[in-house]
Amino acid sequence: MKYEIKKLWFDHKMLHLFLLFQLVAICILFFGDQPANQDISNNLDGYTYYLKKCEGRITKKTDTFFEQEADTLAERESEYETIYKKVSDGKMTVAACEKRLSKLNVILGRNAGFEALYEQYKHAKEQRSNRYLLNTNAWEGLLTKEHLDYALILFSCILACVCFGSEINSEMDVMLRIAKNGKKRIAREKLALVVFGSVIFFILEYLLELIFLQNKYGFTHGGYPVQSISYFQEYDKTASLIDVAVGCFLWKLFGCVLWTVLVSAAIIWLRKYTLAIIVSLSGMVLSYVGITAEYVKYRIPGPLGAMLAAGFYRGTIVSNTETAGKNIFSYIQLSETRKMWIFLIDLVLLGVLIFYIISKYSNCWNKKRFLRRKAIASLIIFLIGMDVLTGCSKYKKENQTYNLKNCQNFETDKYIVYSESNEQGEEFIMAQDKNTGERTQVVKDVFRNNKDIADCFYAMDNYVYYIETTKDRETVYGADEPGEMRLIRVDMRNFSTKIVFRINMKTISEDILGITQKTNENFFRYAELSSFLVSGDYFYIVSGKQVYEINLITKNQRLLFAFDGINLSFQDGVFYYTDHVSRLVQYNTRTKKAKTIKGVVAEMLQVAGKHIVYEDRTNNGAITCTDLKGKQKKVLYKKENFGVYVDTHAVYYLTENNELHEVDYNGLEKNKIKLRRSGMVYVFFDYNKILYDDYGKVTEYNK
Amino acid sequence: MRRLIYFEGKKHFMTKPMLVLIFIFLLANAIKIHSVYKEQSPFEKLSDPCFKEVYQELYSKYKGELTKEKVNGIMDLYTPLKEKVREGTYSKEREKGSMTYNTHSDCLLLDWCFISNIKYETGYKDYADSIVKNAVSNIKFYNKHKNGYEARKDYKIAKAFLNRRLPHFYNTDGFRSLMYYDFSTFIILLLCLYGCSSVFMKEKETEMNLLLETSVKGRKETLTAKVITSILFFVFLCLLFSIEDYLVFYWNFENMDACFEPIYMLEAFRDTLFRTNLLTTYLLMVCSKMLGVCAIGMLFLIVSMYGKNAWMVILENLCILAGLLVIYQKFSETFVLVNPVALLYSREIFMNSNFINCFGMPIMDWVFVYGFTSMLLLVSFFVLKRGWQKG
Repeated sequence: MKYEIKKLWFDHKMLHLFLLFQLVAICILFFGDQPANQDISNNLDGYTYYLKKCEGRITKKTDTFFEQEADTLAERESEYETIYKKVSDGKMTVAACEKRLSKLNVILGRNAGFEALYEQYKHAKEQRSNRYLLNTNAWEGLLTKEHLDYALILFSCILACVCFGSEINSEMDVMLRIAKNGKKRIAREKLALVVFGSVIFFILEYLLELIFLQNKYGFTHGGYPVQSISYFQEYDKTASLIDVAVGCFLWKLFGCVLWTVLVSAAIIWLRKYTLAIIVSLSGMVLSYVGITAEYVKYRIPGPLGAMLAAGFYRGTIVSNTETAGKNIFSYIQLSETRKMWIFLIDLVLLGVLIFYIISKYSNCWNKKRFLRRKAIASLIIFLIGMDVLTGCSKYKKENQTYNLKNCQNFETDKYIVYSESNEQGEEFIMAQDKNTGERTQVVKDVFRNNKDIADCFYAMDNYVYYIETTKDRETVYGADEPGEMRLIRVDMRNFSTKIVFRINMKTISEDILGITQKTNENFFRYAELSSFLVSGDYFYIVSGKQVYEINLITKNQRLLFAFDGINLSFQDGVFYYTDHVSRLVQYNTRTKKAKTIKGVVAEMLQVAGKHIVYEDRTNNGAITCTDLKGKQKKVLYKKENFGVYVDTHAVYYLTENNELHEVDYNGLEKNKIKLRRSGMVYVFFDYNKILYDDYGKVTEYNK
Repeated sequence: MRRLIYFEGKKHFMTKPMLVLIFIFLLANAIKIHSVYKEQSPFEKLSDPCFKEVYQELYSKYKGELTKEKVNGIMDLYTPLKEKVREGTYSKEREKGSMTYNTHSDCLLLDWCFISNIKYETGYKDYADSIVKNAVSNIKFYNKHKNGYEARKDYKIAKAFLNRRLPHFYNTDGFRSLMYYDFSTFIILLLCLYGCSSVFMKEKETEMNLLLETSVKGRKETLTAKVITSILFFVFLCLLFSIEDYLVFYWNFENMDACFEPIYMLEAFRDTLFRTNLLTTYLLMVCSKMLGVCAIGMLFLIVSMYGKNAWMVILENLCILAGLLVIYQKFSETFVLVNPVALLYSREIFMNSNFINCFGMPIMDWVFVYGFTSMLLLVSFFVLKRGWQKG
């Protein structure tokens, strides 16, 4: 036995392969894990605060709690507005306002967390007896991943091949029959070694996953019914989360053993390990990919169902067709009897395979080296290199400014770009030559009628960026659904277009060979996209109240921060925004660090050059400007305004009687014009004209 | 040389395990196609067997040239049903006067199998004209702004879309599913993986490669024969599975009437610049797949040549395949163009009208993909040659 261990793990360097595959599994876990419920993770503080008060079974008390909290939040929101109004009217001092607002802000900051919990509550309310409230992210991460563990499959396959195949390959196994221990003992030892190796690999991988999920999300309330997780909601037996976790673990362990023994038997039967690897792998993967109906995978005896495991605890899901007469089953639950039968058949299969291996196999020594260190080293270097390179990209250009408040007008070197709508309410991106005044549509794509062009756009230097989404429909009875989202760059010097980024927008994303299918997070992320900007190799999108950074080359996405959904500016790699408790925060995209700018309670935030312009909530909404550190404040206009615009030299504000005032950053009023205005006013950073909507006609005014 | 090729083929690819594997995979492929049919055919969503009979009766009446009478005929049948469904004034049980089960199912049958296609086909002329109009106005605009590339690009688009129309109505469900079907590609790659792993390994494992070098034809001809045999094997696999795909789809959907209609008869291909018919397009896609498989197969051969152990060769080849697939799926445009995997999924190339600016000339992206893959084939051959000569 000792020699077998030494030969397999050290001479054949299976230990190296073991560590390499574990490393790959860890990398996949670390870099590929996404929380099952993004809303919970993104608003964890608020969510945990409310969850503590109502977790567990839904009772009448829980119903009352949710009703009361919803009312309280609505009241707080209206109180918030009242306070703000009182301060604006001068009925409340700024100090008193700040004191009350600070309390309110804490409560309102938890709103998103409450909404996430409320969604769970709505789901749990439908079946009060076994749907409890709890933070499900850890459990969902552990239990609902219904995809094959390729690292385990490949490792077990190679381990078995090397253990049994090396002697068979050199035809030395025949010698075994004349050896002292050759007939049965060595075969038993080899089999035990292979099974033990695979089991250790699986247990280690499982433990690492448990530790990772525990640290990232935390497992709580293992005794709650498994139906609390939406994936298992229709399961009609009584089982707790821990029961299912243990059940899945045991099924997977059994599947792992069965798979390893099956591969070993295949090698001994086929006597060619290349063929055995291909036959075993293709048998497993093809049945996994080829069987479209999920529940069928669990009804076929063999390692596939056992290695997936989660489906054994899933209930029947019926979707009625639109026509009468037929139910379509998305999933059919396996009865306990059927599960038992499948287990017994698998057990018999295992026994037969073990008997076959022991009766057929004979042993001999083969010290042939099989693991090439160089190949593995190059593979690791390649993987590390790829990973490192994804983070390396040249950094962006200076003097780039973006304000969410004014994201419907930009200027390029030669053009001003703004959005315009026609009588039917359709929005167009228009470009106007700064010198000649000639106007033209930016989107020149001849196929534009067949695409959804987003209302938001971005422009800088000589480029205008816009977003289009193609439509797709694969079956006659399916509805149109988004196909691909593309970020298009138009070079305004000659109107050349280029696709700089594209991403799949189908609601269900599929791997290239259809190996795995999962809900496409991109769809939800980009469907809520309200504005965006491009800086260097990065594409920043504002989706709901969150800002994501996307690498245009590698397509890597990361959530940068959440803000209040209104106040957001960007200048030279730094974001300025107000968070959910109205603090002004500076986020540096280079260092990935956020810093609060103290003493500023801002609204209608805009950044221009070295100045931040905002409406000061502590000073009746007075238009105030400050430096980028928030230290030198200067009030520019104290009374109520109807719109604030900025450029590099001055601040413009609209008053009630449609007068547009120009004030420089020192607070000196320079100009005042009366506008005959019915709609938008566009003030550009460098362009010396102001555009405004004069009852359907775009009119210009020289600054 | 011919004998050498035959011998190499017999040694590596015409083996018993390979033939059995091919047979099993052909069977698995047929089963998968049937499951695709079950998933995508509208008749599987409509339970009653009479749906198919009603459909066939109506289809034989309305297929062929789309005349005004036919369009009016089907619309007269459809409009009152749609109206009833919209108002909700129909029975949810079986209705006596209904063609199928009830008004709703009649309406769905017409909607899914006739109306949506007829609407698309009758509206396509206007759609194509609007593209030509947009393109012509763009050409003027770009000429004014001296952007020759964009003007030339739009000229090509205008030319491709000029006088396009869809005068016939045929069932395209079979072709639609066939064009989106990828499972057989996966099988082909697996078989290549297995086949290639032994091409150079067989001699190495028995240490016969040294002996081979001393033979008369061992230095050059054997390598050429091995490469040609492998390429023939890849081509054979692609052809075999493509023919199977076509026939089994035909057998399942019972209809490939639209094979001589233009490719843009499929809604997903409405923006294509190709004017070939569906059958020709499918053949072109098969050819693309062949080229892609050959290029990837050559990479497998290189690994096989430098590898010292068959299972290690398989592992390395799996890594190469996974790497190419991940790069194709995850990375941006540039990487996609220099990846032979793009040819395995060539429908994306045929669907879209993407151009690349090549010194001011608009060149379609497939030219680059084909060019790069052909280059890769050549380079792989030279690498193999060098490796073989080095021993």
